[in-house]
Amino acid sequence: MAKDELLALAQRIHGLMGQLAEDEELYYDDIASELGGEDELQMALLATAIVEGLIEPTEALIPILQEIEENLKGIVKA
Amino acid sequence: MTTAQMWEQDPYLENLKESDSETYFDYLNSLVSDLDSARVLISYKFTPQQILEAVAKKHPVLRVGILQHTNCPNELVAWAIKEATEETISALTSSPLSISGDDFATIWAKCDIAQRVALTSRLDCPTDLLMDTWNSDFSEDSLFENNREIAFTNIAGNPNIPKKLIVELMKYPLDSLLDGQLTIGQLLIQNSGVSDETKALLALRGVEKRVVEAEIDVQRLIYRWPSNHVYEARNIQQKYRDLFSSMAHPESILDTRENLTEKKYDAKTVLQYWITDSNKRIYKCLWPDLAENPQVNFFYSGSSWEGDHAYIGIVGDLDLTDEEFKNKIHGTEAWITSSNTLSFDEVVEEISGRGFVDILESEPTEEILISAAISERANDGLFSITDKGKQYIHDAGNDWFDDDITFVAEAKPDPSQKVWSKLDTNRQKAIFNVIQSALDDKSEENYKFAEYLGALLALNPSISQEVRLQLEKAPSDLTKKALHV
Repeated sequence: MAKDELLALAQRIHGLMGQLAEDEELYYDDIASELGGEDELQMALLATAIVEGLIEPTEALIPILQEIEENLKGIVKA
Repeated sequence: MTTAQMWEQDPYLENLKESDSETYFDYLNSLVSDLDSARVLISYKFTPQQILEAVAKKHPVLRVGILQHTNCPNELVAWAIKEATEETISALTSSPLSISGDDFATIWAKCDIAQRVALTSRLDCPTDLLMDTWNSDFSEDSLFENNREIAFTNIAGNPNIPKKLIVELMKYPLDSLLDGQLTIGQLLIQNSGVSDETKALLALRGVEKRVVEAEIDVQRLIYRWPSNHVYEARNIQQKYRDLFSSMAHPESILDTRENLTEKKYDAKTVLQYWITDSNKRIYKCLWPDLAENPQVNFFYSGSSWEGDHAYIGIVGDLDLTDEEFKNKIHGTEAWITSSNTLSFDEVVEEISGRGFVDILESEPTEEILISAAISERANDGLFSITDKGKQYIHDAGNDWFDDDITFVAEAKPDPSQKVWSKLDTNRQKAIFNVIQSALDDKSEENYKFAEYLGALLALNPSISQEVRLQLEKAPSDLTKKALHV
């Protein structure tokens, strides 16, 4: 996956997180419960870190973030 | 001799009293004029009555304080009764002097209900006044002023309790906690005015004796020694400092303005004195030299739970965390400085110490939560942290962590105390002899503190070969271990 695609994935996750926080008024601990635990919340937060340029991701992060995106979409739809 | 008795007597002043009564009185009289010095006199339990008389005459403001002294002149009691202000009545209530029945009646007539109830806490309160208190009108009591409960507590514990009131009190649930520590039953069973038959009855009803031991504040007791005051108040004549120094007063070991004596310093007293010393002289003497030892680090911990404090940490496994080592200086000290800013690595360490879940549960900011996620996952091979990320974590941590944080600190020589490496050999010897004597006596109450001091010397790069050899022989594993850090 190209670097810009990874950034786009991170931005989508970041957007979904914002949606949950603002539209659904969920707190981080609620989001952690919805996602399945603190580990999943940490991964979702790493997406924001990518968007902000705080970390340089490796390819190993891609499948994890893809799974997080799917979970978040499911929570938003529900 | 109890611990309290042992430390409430100023050994240097009492020795002077035994050996040279005239100088003893000269010294005490020299303290009368100055208000602060006079305060020292009235807070020392063994100040003689004639000195207290002089203080009362010179400083009317201290008269109420003198009423708390066991050697208080009787004239002052008469004065306090005549004055009958809120302050003098309160002072009479807690005064250790016995008050006659007639005086009680006079005071009683001038008291309001709360003051009368307070007077019943005196063990010499006459039986009729206890009865009168019991029959008082408590209708003005509120949540904030429960005179009835205080009266119950005082009467139940008073040896002059009227028999009728013992019967009355036993109608209440005996396990009712009155003063927050003892129940009605426990107060009665421990009351010498309650008959053995009644006590047997109380025991049958399941009441057991419970002694509430008062905590002994050794620091406060030592702080009150009049001989210490001569070193604090520098306006007192030097001859008195010389006098107490010649008697091996602990202050003369570390304070280089004073003469060191050839007499043996009493290790037990000196160690306790160093522990309670508000000037922290022994730490000011032994810590700064350790900055030259790369294995020693100084830390400053800001904690609302434990209190802000500085301590030393040793690289490796020399563990100085046992509270009895007293490896802590509480509060802020000008000679111990820290940056009060956490570095990136320290923020990561703080995050790791608390854990992501703990931070998540403490209403985190977005910044600290993202920082926690990054630092917790930093070793998983999923990403690397950019310079911007490091700065972000650094800033988020310094904004977020404001309690229970530890900074790297520095300990510099304080102008008020020479460090060990700058002391002459005789003073070094005197310090070492105190530590060594304490280490030779494993039953010494402050043995672990002596071990700690021994370890500080062992870690000091400036100690002589002779001291090093003697520390090798010291019966302390900690000290020996410290030599080989």
